[in-house]
Amino acid sequence: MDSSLVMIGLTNVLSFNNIACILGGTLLGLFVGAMPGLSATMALALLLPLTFSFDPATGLSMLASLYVGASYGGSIAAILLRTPGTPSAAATVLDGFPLSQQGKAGQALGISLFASFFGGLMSGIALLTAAPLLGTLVLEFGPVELFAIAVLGITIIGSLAQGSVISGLLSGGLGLLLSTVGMDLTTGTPRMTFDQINLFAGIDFTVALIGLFSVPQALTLIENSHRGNKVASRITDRLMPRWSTIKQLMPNILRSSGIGIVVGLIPGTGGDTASWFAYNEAKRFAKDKSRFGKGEIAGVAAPEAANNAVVGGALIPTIALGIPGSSSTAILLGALMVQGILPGPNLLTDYGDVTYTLIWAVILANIALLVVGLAFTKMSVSVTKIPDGFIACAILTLCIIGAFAINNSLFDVGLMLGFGLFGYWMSKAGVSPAPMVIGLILGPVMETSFQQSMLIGNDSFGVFLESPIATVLLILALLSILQATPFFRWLRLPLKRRLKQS
Amino acid sequence: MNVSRLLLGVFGIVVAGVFFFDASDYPRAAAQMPMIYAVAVGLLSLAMVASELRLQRRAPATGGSAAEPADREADEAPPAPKRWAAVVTIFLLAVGYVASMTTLGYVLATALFMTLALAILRTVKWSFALIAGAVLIAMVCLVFVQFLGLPIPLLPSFL
Repeated sequence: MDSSLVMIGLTNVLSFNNIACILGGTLLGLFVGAMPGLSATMALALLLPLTFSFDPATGLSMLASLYVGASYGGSIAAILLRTPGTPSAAATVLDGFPLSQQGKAGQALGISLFASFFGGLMSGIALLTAAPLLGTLVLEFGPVELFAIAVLGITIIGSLAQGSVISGLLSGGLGLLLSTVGMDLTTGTPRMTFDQINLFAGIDFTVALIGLFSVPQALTLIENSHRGNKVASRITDRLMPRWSTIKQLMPNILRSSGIGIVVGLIPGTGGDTASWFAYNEAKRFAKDKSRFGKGEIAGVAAPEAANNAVVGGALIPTIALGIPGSSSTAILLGALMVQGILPGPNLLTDYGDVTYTLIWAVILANIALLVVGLAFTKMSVSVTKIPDGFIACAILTLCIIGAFAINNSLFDVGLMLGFGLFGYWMSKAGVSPAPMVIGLILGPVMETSFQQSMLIGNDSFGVFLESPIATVLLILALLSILQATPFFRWLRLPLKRRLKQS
Repeated sequence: MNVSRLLLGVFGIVVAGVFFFDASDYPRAAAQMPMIYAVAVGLLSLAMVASELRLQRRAPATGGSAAEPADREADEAPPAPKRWAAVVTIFLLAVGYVASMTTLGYVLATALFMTLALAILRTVKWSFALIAGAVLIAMVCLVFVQFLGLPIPLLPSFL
């Protein structure tokens, strides 16, 4: 780890502007996460165009804080409204809402906040130590290995995304295909531009992001909007938990944080997987399992620690390998790209000052979360009561102005609406848009590294088998696809029968 | 069978075909990756169509077992109907909003869009819509137009 870059990153993030942006971003994330129907990814997509005019440190600090704030904010609606504010807060509903019904909403929210703080802080420290270690390994990688990592990234994300493996891989494949639109840099050939000058530079990743993540949510809110006020439980007890309660829950919080970090490391899995896994483990280790589902405080602490710990964990492959671990980290990677910083293993070396600033921003955002959460959690209850219909229209207006802000082009806005409609169709088909966005990011990386590999190997595909690292990565990619096909089940059955007989 | 999935699969095959045949006219270096991706997308789309058609063929055989949960569900309140017409109308309104933004100006176009969309939805009180809408427009103008310097006309071009 280059200690000078670590200190530069810390110095960058401790400026007045950046601390203000961290506090503001965390508060915004808290409110967005608290509103059912909105997600951290959607908010990040909408905020991204705003950060274009900021310097990289400030923009990234704000985005990272929003991500951290929204990861906790989802628990507010889960506990008070019985509706998770974000998908990763779904497990929190099971014990959080019963606690609010017993007049212990404050206790539940307080433990959720402290668990989120500890989980996020642990993952930030893991990110600071693990990413550079992985980064030094990856410096040995050439174009052949980079191509293999990109293939592995797409196949893992595609095979683990929501829905079937075919859906996930198709989504990723479409993203890769769309990434080829525009002028080919090697030959200068315009590809799939239909003589449209606006497409010569390719499809802007941010336009697709806003369209795919924000517009479908707005349309879904409209689809399900009906009269009727949201009824939220009131907070009548204290928010600040007792130290004895935190001490009692600490083993659970530490275990759940570890689960969140490890799950975050795996591309394609996110806060929802981590929170359910942590909840199940908390129940397994509990002395009295019958209390889970009826207002057991450990059932709130576990998923909340895990879903905040995912943030740092997911950033480890993003920063070390340039492979985004989730759609939210894809946006953070996109924010780096917008500042002219290309994804890849050189993020920690050539752009180390910006990257370490992002890492420190994640750590400081968790401290900001504690401050902002204690001060504003009660206020965020009123935010949960905003009618879905108004939220949907507000999202659409923000999408339109956000897409226009990218290149001051109405063509981009039209393209964004087109992606929005396609994203809505994908949601009806049960196909996740996350692999598509990651395909759009990794497509150019894959193409460049493939062309370089072909040059190295004199146009022979055998060049990928000459590198042991690339061979192993490509085999893992193949296994990740096969593991979800009937082929694996046919292989496993005879093995199971043989084990039974022996 | 999910009709959206079936249609998405068909769409994927068409898109893959268009990209593949278009790429066949490019120089070799420019054609390689689009053709590889097009083949992958085509095969995956075919697999999606095949899996949906297989599900449709299996569905009549499992029709009897669906009766029991249906009886249980009859006692529960029916889910609220989906507002497809509102989705289509508001999306078309959004397209109109984008088209009219430079002529009507951002403020008027946004106010018109929000008013019409909320009138169609009929789920928001007018007092809330008025105040919250004004706050939203003011904040967007402050952040995007004032702070970011976005070159978008705030007022109608005919004024």
